[in-house]
Amino acid sequence: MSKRIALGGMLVALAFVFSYIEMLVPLPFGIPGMKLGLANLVVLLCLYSMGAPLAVTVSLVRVLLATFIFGSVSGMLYSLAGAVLSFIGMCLCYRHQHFSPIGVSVLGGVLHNIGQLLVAFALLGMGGVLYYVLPLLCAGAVTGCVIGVVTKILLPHVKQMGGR
Amino acid sequence: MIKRGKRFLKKGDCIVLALVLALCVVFLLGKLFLYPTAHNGMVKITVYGEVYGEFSLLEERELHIEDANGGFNTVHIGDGAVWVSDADCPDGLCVRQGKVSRRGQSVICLPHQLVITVENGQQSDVDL
Repeated sequence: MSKRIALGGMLVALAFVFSYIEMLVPLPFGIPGMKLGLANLVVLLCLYSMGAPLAVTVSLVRVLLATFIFGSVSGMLYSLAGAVLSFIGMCLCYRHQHFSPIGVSVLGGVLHNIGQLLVAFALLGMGGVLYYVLPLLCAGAVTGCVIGVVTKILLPHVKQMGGR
Repeated sequence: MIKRGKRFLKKGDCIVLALVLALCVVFLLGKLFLYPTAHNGMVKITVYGEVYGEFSLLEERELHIEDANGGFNTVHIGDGAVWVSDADCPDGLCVRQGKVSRRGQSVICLPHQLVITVENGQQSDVDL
């Protein structure tokens, strides 16, 4: 039990550092919400090797931590919505034999952006949001693919380290 | 490394990617057909959800918008386009979004909850 807690803490720290790295490398399109999704790599690895309860904890704690340290509280709603919607999708699919980490990651990335767009729609109205759906969808899918491939490569090695 | 024996992309993956691609196509088509250039259009600016003002795209204008916490955005209207030339928000994404001129396009500053939208004015024609 304490081993899981310790691993969870380490994974939160890792995801947190990835969030910070993402902030240092802004993508050149200037669209709010477009990012590399590196932290999702940690969530995915945790999901596949240690199960959903720990993975969702890591994800939510990472969002809270990153918001309080790097971001604004008003931005927290966006991140939370994205993370929750993303996790629900990933959790439903990751055990299916027809889904590989790549598909799960793409789903996670796209759902994350959709969650953020829904919050933006609720707060800012349709006019501001509609224009951003297309670039965010594409970015979410592409980064999801890349992160998914990396997950697939790393997974066999991670499972050796003391997951299930 | 990646095992060669198994398929790289499984059936479910392809479904997800196809769905996303379909969504992209839908929004791309919608964007091309619904958002023509709005030379005579109006610019609507909302701050924290409330309308700050509506301005014609034809008149050159510089707006200095401040919010309650002292944050500001400098909005320029000119050459049939609108853009944010300066702002003190932490990410500066609004400035990097550049100029927009097509109806339906927008520039957003999330930290200041500022939304600038190009809307169809009374006089504009629909032209692709």
